Amino acid sequence: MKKAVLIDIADNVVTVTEQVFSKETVAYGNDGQIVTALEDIPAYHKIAIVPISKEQAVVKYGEEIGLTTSKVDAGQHVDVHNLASRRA
Amino acid sequence: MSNIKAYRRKDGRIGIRNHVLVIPSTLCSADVARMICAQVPESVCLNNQNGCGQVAGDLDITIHTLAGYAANPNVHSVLIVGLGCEQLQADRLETAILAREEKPILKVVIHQEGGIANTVKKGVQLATQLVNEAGLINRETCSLSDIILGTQCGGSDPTSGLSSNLVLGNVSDRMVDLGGTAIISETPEFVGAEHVLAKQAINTQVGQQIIDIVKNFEQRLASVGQSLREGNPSPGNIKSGITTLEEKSLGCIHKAGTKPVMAVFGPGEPITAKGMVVMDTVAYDVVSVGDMVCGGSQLTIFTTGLGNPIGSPVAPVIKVTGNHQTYLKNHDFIDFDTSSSIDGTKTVEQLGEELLQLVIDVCNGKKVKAEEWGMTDIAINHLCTYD
Repeated sequence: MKKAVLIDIADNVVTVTEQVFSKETVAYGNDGQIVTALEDIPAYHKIAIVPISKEQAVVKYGEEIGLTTSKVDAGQHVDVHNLASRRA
Repeated sequence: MSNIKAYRRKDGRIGIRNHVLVIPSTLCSADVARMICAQVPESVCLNNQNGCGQVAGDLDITIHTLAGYAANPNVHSVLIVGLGCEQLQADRLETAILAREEKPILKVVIHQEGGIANTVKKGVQLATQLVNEAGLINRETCSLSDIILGTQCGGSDPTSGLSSNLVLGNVSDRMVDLGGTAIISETPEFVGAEHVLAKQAINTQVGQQIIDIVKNFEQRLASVGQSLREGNPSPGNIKSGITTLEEKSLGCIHKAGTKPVMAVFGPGEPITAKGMVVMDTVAYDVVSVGDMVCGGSQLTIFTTGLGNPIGSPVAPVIKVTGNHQTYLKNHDFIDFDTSSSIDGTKTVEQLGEELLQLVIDVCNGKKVKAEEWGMTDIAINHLCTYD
């Protein structure tokens, strides 16, 4: 089972601590939470743990780190292709 | 145990090193300064690219920076190497240094000695004299409460926000509890997190100063048609998994720990407060480390997810990473690995205690890897072009 770090309870992404491959399950948090990767996620990159609509806040550290630029499904890689700063 | 052995300076501050610093007052005398240093191994040379051909505002920054390095309590004495015709005359630099702190300053000027060989011969004589004088001074028992710790992050990856900056924040808290000072700087890396850092301020006035320095930084760049987002996050940051500047900043501010932020200082401004403080600097690592050194910081802890080898000519830079792969690949320039906080084998508290012990050892004279390699580059900020 691959692992990820959930930094804050309000976060909608977690950070994987090693390379994750598509279809692998990723464990995070203290209550046995898991998410299934829909694609490969490089080490220390973000994976969505809930669906996030287009132009909604991506939350990490309990704060907004930017807005999605397209709809994101739970288990998807969240990165430059679907996340940008609000002020960009 | 918060005692260390350090050098007590005339103004009461303490130094954890006892450097003889050779400063070319202008780029035109810099190679000659390096020749002098090469023959006096215990001396260290500042890489000054400025000192002439500068508009007044830029010359002010140059003088402020060079005098700041010279005035750092880790510096015993200074040899200024001048050309003779430059804007920043050796006498002028000497006056600027003495206005900050009284210490032995000698000068050698190429036009006075006549030729490179004569200047190098005289410079070596003078630098050797200073090194001999420095050797007569001994460390005495001092307190960690007289230490100003610089904190820095560079070549960040997501482990910086997950691990190394948390451990550094724990050390910042410990330094504050021991009566010392810790500085967080790099204003562009508060963007997106400034409201979080402002909540940590001791009062609303300091909180507003934090918000203002971020706004002013963005406006200054916008006024010349530039955006700091063009360069930040860097390509390395992005490839490693830091997607936006906000994400980077939220990871960066963990370096400030949890203690109240007491004051905001300008770049290179002498630090006069105890506790956690902010210094308004650029995010370019060599400059921000330099500005904290100019403010009086005797050592810096620098977290790096990807691996940044820089040091400082005057102050030890302790290199820390939260990325175990980075540590394994680059262990010859990284001093401390915090990755065990990610896999859970150690807590942030445990690692903070270990890192503080390393701080104490470094204060007592243990060399960090950047010092062993002789990493001494500096960079001086600019307002505008040379003239």
